[in-house]
Amino acid sequence: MSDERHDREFDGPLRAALRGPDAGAGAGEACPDAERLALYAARELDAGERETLEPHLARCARCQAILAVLVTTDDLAAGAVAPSPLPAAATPTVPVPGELLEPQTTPDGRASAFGRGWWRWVLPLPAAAMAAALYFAVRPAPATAPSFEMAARDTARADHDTAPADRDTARADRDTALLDRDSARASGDTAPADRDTAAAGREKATAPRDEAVVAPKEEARRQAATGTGAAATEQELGEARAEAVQPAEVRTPVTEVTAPAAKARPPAAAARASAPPVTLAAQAEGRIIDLPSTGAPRFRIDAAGRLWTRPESANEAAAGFDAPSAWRPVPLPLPATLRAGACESASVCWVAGRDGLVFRTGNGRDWVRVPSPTTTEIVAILVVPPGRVVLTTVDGTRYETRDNGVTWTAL
Amino acid sequence: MIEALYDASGARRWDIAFDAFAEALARSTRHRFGGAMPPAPVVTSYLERLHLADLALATACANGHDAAWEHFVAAYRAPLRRAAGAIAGPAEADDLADALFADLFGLTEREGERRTLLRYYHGRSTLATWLRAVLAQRHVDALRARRNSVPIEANGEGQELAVAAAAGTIEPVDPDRSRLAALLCREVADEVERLVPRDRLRLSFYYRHDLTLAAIGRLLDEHESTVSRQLERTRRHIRAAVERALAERHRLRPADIALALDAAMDAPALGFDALLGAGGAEPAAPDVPAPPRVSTSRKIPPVDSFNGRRAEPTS
Repeated sequence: MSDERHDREFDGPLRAALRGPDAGAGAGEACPDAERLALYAARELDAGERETLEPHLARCARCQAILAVLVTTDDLAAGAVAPSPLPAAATPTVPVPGELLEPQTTPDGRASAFGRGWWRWVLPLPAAAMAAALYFAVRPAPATAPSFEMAARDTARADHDTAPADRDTARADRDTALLDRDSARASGDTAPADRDTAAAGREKATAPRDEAVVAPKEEARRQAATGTGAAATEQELGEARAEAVQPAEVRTPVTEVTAPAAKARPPAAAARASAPPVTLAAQAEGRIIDLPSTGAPRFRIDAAGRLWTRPESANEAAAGFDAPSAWRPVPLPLPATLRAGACESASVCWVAGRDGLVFRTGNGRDWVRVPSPTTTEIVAILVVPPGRVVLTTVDGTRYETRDNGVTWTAL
Repeated sequence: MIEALYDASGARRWDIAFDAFAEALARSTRHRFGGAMPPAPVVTSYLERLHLADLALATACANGHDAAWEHFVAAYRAPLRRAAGAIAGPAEADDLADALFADLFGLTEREGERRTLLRYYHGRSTLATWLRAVLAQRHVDALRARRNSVPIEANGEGQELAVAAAAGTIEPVDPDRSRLAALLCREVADEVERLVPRDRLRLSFYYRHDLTLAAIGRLLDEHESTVSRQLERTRRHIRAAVERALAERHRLRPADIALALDAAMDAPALGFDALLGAGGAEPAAPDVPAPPRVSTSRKIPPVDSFNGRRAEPTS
């Protein structure tokens, strides 16, 4: 009997033994808190604390699963989109977390936790190289032969210069292949067992995910009935309903004015800021939406899809923020029924709505129509300074522009 | 020294009183060292390594400071949603993030004090790192709760087996094979129990959570070749110990041991969890989220909204 067959035979019982119920991790032994697990995953615990923690981790499936989630989503979270734009007034000196995993620095400037940071500078390099390659591939034929030859010579020289790096990479690949062989043998040889169990797992995993679409709504209803939780608002119900329509990663950065304040003692401003973004469903119910910008919102879209502005001179304290007298209708170049809006700054804002109409102001006063990529109703706008705007249509299609709407890219 | 930390934290910006910040530091220290307070230099070193600005922000939010909360929401809401998406997948990301935000804000009160999750942040990691760990913790708890609530009838695999057995479409299991496989599995489980924590942890990450060697290496601060080597060593050790136990304690002949190993290959069909006497075993699905969707992009020209024609692209 070969060694490989022995391995295959032995992986099954090992898997079964390790996938059994938690052995002894419970029994009154409390799991470490999230902070300690995060530090363990980031290898920031000192040796003594690690040793103290590992006997528990070795027997606790829950903690192992949390660590597994942290380490497997490391790259995913780091690859997410740009950091949240913050109102200038709200960003004094505290560093803004670009990503939950991006390098964070302590007040004394040392790097911490998950990010070591170097890759942020390395990642653009392949992109730049690809852009350069594309440029050479599609650019018009050079006007003169010598310049082309010169470029070819430069490219050859560059290739020659990168050869040692390639050799290193090849060596690293070979090393990895050795490890992979071990890994492949361990996992591949147990394939029959794994395939069956994995299939069963997938079947089980599918059902709860389907249930999850319904569960939040029921949870929100329950919380509404008992008066607990932030979900005790119709807004969350609206979000749950809109889930199927709006892509999860695109959320209109607008703040709902009519969101009921949280019950405990949230300050009014905090409650406004903490309200989840308005959704398609919420808008369809005729809510008023504000376009957030630096300071108080200057634009809002009413339930009928009309745009209003609140002149800077309006005295909030005197007139009241929501006083009708404080708001003036905004004339747009074309009649439009608006459904979404967002501001890049106090004066640069975008609105959009039915028939795919898109408008933009660059000074907070004059609105111009922007060429639109679609005739379908637009229900969400995401503005990411500087200059990135993403539209979402009612059918979930998303378009992006980085040149104020001159060209659009379907995402 | 506390004053220096207070200054460095920027706590004044959030109107945190000196005493309140000192109390937050004390709470963090107590949480780290428990009842046995170490010598002063150790405490000093610990305090200096805290993420003071984040601790000040969390303390201010927990105290209900408007500007601090607004800053927290503006700075962390989007990253939190992205992290939730990475952890739980797009379908559940918003629920996960919103529920966490509600608990961070603290919508319930006890004895007149708002109960906010931020009180459990002690400044040892960055606030962002801590939030991500809390998200992961909640996601795992939700998965486990869901799993525990799956009714027995919903276990498709068992049902199919039962139906097939009733219909006589599967071969009856050789009782001797089952006995030998059960024996082997129990010995393996016993050996796993005896492993030192780090070996067992490495093995669990590999066999239970299906982590790659590189991921295990990242968690355990080992090179992936070390992980591979150590896994192999542990596997051989267990195998040798099990074969020895089967031969010496259970008086199995080499042929029986080979039969036991052979039978063990049919683990799923035999129901290894049952063989191990582990009725409520968790299913084999690893506790990791599905990868995110990958979208493609294409360049399209804008459309004239009124006549519906696609305009010529301008650049």
